[in-house]
Amino acid sequence: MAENSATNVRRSMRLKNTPGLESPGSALRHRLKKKLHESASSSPLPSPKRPRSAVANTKPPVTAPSPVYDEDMTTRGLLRGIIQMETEASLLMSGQPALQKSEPNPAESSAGERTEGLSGVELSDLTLNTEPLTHVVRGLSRKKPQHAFSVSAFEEQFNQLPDNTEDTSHVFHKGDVSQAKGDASQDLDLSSGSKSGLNLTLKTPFVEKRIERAGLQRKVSNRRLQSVDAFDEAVQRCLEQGPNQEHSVFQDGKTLEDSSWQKFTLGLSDVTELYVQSKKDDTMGPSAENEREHEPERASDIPDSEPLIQEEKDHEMESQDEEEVVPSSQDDVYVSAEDDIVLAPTQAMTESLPKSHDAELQDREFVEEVEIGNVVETEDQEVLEIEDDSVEEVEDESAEEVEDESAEEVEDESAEEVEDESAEEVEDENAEEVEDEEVVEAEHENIDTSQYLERITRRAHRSEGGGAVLGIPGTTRVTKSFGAGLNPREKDLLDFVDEGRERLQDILDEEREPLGSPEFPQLHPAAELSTPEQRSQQHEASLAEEDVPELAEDNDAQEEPNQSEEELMDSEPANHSPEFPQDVEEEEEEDDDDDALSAELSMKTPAFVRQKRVFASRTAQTTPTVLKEVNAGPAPQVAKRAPRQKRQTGVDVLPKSYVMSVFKHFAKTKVASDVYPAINEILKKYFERLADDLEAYATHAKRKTIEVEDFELLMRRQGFVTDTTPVNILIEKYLPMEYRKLLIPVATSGNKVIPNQRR
Amino acid sequence: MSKKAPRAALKLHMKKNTNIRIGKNADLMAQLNILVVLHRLAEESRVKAFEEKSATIKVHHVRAVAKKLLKSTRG
Repeated sequence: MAENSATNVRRSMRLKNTPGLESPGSALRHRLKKKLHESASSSPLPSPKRPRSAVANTKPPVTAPSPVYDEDMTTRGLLRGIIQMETEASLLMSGQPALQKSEPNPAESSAGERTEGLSGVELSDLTLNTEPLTHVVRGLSRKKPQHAFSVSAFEEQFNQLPDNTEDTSHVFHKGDVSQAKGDASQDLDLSSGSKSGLNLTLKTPFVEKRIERAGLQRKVSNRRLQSVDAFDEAVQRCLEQGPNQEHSVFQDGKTLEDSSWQKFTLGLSDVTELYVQSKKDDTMGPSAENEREHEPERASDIPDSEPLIQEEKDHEMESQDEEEVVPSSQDDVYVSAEDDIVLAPTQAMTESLPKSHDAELQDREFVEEVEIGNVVETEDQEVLEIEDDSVEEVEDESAEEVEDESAEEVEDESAEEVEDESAEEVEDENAEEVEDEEVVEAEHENIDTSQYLERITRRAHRSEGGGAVLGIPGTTRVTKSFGAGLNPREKDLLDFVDEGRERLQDILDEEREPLGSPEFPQLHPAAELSTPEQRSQQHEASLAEEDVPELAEDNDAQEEPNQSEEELMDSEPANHSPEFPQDVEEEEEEDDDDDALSAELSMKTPAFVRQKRVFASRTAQTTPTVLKEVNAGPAPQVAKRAPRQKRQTGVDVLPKSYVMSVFKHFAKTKVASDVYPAINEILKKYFERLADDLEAYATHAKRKTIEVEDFELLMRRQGFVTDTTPVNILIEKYLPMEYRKLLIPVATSGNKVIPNQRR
Repeated sequence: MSKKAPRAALKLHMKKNTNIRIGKNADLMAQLNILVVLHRLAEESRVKAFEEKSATIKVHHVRAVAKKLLKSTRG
């Protein structure tokens, strides 16, 4: 096209040279063309204003010659015009449409139509499209809104002109196509042409954003839907399993939990399975007892709330429905075939009530799964919470009974004691507790969301399996309490989820909390539970934002007193604050979690924080009771420490005199002598790391002994030795003479080298 | 002051956890390493003590530097 114009110009030039031969019109055209070219070349000016002016300038020439010349009417001309337009448009499209509008030259039939078409139909779009460009050119601002505009504009145009959208980059094609279609197509071309730049740049990102959002949305919706179905199935299963209403209540809760669990586990899939299995293995030994204890505790903890059970059931059902929604959502996310595992815990939940022993084991698994689920489903905290809540309720109920008897935080302790007592009680109590919990939860739903957060965090801390897990249970708890009542769906689901999880973990806590707070007049046992729960909640509230280890400790401590208090507290007001029950639950959960986790943790390598918490919880546990395991634990350790201390602690470090002298020498100032132990510790750690590194170096070199070169590599990596400071210098600097000789070959007279080098 | 570090103790430390063997003069290098590290530790704690305008190095000075130092001398 340029060539054509050029040729035209040349022709015009020649023609002009021979004015007699050339027509005035053709000469005019040539001049216009020249101007066009000039303007086109000059149009891509940095400032927006210029292009506009250029566009304005070029427009008349563009428009003028276009209709005049037949060539312009051709595809070439159109393309040319488009190109010219585009260059200008890229800078400032807004100007063109305006100019186009302003110049509705009848003579400029095609051009005018084009422009008008552009202005009329696509002007708005163009402006939208172009404006952002201008902004971009100017200050690179408002990209997002521009994008939106552009996208919308593009979309409109796309809808209008499917063809154009496809060939954003092919202006030429558009031009051809437009020609074929006529002015309308031209308009489209222009718009598309103008868009092309915009489309490429602006549209795609926006679309992407949308997609992302849509995907997220879809996911959520899908999850919920699925959970409902799965939930129903789980519910049916539970119903089938448990003939008693009480059981059914629990079952329902469990099913809810299970469904949620399943969903979680589904999501977690391998991770959860492995974790569960490993946990099972690990926890079978140490935690087996604990779980057993927990279960009977749960059963025992649920004392008198038979009437409440029904109420709870109602609530549970409601919450279950809500939970279903939530778990379904979760299910969608997690699609794994861990039904067995999931079912196991659910069954465990149901069975635990009537069978403390069996349930314990299962609960453990469930707990483990819960934990795993927690870890994996950080995202679905809400759902988890609901599930946990449901689970927790069951756990709590059983735990409460046990707790009453043994006044022990630790699930183990109470579990053992309670087992004998209350298979039946557990059932009833659990049912009651579940109901109570649900009721409580419903009531508490109205509570501030802040409480949620607190509890969530607490639960998070409590959750086993490390930071991630911790986070989930915390959240779940919060929802638990709130889930039942006002906040349907997710909140409820979350609560249930939390309950489910936490139940396994914190049987005692949960039971106390929900029971105590809302229904103390109705549920004496609940009140009992609630009081300790409340206290624990209070503690939790105060601790809500504490670190995980802190929470663990506090929870443990609180659980213990709470447990003892439960028995005493029949008439205590359930909830001074909605937070308390939740807090208590959380605490209980956490404590239970800690207990169960401690055993597991010892086996596995939990998160660093977890370990801390384990230690903290252990210490708390050791204080009170009768746990066989607990007693067994500290005892052997103590026995070991005595002999060890005699032997090694004094010998492990370098001699004090040496170290202190070196240190003082290097410090050049006075050094307090009591820094020695600290230095010792530091050196110890350093030595360990050093040994590992050296071993790695030697192994890498496929040697079985650590050599000097390994040390050299180490020094280099540590930064002590660089290209400018060879090792030998360091040697001379620090080591005494004798040693120096050994390390550095020294040449002596007689062509001898010390030490003797093997060549 | 150049003192002799107990080579036996150094060897013991290095062989604590593993069965790996130590080369002939490798423990000398270990001593060198320890010296260098101690030197750095002393320097840092001295600086820290100066910050608190105390002429003597106290325990908390040393502890505050220790963690950072341990991290830096990794390899």
